[in-house]
Amino acid sequence: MNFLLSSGGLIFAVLGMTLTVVFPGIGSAKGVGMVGEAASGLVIDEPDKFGKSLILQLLPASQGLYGFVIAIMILGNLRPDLSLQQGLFILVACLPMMIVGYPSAVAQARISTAGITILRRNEEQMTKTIIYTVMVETYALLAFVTSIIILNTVVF
Amino acid sequence: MAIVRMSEFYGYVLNEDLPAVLDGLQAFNAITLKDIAAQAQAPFAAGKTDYDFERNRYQQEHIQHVLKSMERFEKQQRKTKKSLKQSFQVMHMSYETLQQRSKSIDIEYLLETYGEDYDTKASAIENFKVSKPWVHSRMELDKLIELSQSRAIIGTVSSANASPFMKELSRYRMVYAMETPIEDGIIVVIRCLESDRGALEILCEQYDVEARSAKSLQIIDAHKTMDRILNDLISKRKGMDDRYESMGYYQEELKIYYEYLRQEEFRYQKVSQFLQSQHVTILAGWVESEEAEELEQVLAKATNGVFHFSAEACDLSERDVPIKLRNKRLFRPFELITNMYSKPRYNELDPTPLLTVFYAVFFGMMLADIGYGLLMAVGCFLALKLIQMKQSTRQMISFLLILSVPTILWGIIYGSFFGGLIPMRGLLDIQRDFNLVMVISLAFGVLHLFFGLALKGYLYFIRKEYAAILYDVVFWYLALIGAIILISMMFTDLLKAWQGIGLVLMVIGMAGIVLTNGRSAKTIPGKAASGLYSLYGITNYVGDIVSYTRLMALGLAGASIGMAFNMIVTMLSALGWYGVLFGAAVFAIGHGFNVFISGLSAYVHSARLTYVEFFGKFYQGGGAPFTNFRAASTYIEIGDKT
Repeated sequence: MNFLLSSGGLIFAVLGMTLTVVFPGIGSAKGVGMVGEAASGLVIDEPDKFGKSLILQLLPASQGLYGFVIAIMILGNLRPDLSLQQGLFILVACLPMMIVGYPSAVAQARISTAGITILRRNEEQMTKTIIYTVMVETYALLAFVTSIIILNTVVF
Repeated sequence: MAIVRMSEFYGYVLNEDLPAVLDGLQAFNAITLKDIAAQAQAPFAAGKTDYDFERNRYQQEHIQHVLKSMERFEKQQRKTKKSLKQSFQVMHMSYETLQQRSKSIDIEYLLETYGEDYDTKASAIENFKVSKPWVHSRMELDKLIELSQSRAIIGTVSSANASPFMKELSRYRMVYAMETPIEDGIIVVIRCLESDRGALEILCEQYDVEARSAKSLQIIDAHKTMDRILNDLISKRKGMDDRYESMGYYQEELKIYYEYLRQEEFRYQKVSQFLQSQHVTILAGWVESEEAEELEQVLAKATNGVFHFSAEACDLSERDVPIKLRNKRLFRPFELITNMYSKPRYNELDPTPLLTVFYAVFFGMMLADIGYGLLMAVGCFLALKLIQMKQSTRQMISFLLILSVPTILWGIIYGSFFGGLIPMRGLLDIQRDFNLVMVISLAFGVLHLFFGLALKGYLYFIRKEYAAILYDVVFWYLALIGAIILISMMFTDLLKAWQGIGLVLMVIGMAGIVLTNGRSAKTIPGKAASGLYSLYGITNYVGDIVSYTRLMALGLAGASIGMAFNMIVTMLSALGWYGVLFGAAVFAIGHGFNVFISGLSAYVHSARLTYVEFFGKFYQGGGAPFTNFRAASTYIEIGDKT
């Protein structure tokens, strides 16, 4: 109990920091992988479309980045003498990004994968898929902004 | 600065002048043809042409094939990739030059030399009907060699058996055969792959093919020709690399001819939309009102004056008038945004100049960084100056160039240079004052929506529906302004003095909406119900306005990501010289990624605010685009008349 009170703050803060990298990171990795797989099928026949397929592949990559950015921002707040309350606060601040990151990356990747088919059949319409994809990203972005706002509002 | 006024035209020309007329029209370019073939009545019928589309497509395919193999060959030779500049560079040429140059190109010769499997008219065998397997599908070189080395089956088939036999034979895809009729049947010469030989011999038994020799049938010459064609092909295939080496200049010729073929195919395809009698062809379409006279002269020149032409300005209410937008230079790139949604109807406003200012402001607010803005500006400016790009790419680049300006301005307001690389004081710090930024975003939202509503009123005005301005616009203004004053009381006392007025305005507005907005319903209870339902639409406005908070959210996200990368760079550069090196890489890649993701988000979300919130208030769209009388080009950008 004493241990929890004395070092719990730091532990929870770091827990928040790591998990907010881990979950959105898994989501993005999965998403980028899915699109990459579909894109490789395309590039066999049409190597010229590599550049465009790369754009589609990169779209679900942002969630992982958002998680990472939050981790970096927490880094500035880390001190050995963080109180338990402060540590839990940081953990909770991470929750929006931690939770929304994973599913939104996968959902986005599904649209991107469909976009690869569009890229194969009707290249001109690809921009429209990008728009659909970015619409999903809005929610990851809102979660990210919420996490940032919570972290910024309270200064220890 | 608006939708270009169109005239609908009808032209009557003699059938024998039609090719010249088509050629003239294609050079003129700026017309959209109307499909009037459905209105055909005797003596008129849908237009026909004896143009050889098949030959055209056959040549197109082979030119493309040659160009592709050439590209592959060049890649193998050079091993280096094309530079960025080269991959965006396009050849430009005016239509007249294209026509002239293509006339001096000997396409048969070029394709025979460079087309691996091109079947020239010259390679026919006299009196014989030949079927060449490599014409229909690609054959590997070793298969061709096997064909040439196989023993030929030569024989005669009786008249009764001839046609079923040839039909069966045509099922084998890799058979090189020729036939010629004789008195009581046909002579066939067949070369096949070893794998097909067994099956073919059975087939020959079945149809009583009488085996003979070339000598006894006196077809030695033809037989030799048949072999020569195949051997020529093989040696051509073997020496292909050497040939490609010498191609150089001819590549351009092939591209020119390809575009020429595409244009020719396009203009003759359109003939089926015309009406034709035995002597006269009627064509119809739209042309810019200002250019109608010019078009008449084009027809006069192509027909030596034997024609009839009439053009009449289109009425605003006409539905199918094709839409062409023409805006000032600054606004023109923003037609991209309008076109992506939908072209306006002929009786609507061109929304392009109206959306431009807000779009630019929103985009800048979301990307908001001096460094990113400068990067965009310099990059786009250089690209425009140095590279000759496709028209559509050019438009996109100048679009970005214009958007770099608000990006820089908002960067100055937020005091952000590459995510805070150089510390500077802006008017606002988005990391701390995000509440204020959010209020500013909402204020922009209200402004944007009110502007949209005003445009709706303007549209009613030009359609002379003055009462509707009061019902659908003024009442809404009153209700919304009142509501905003009252809601602001929940957060601030700034507008306290106006509370009473706000309440009155809101009540008048809402009552007006309930009383008038159900006017299209038939019964009194129906009117009341749909009036109330319209008032319920005010919740949409709440949603619409809240939607503008994304201006703050995206700005904050971009700024935070940039800042995080700078933190990493600072940490790394504390590690010594290799840290600095590594830090520089992180800086370049990180900010590159941020420009890409934040820029893309800014582009998409500004478009969304325009389409859903702004257009929702006044814009319908759904106009058909004005298409020029030319096929879309692949290799060469074909210039307009100068």
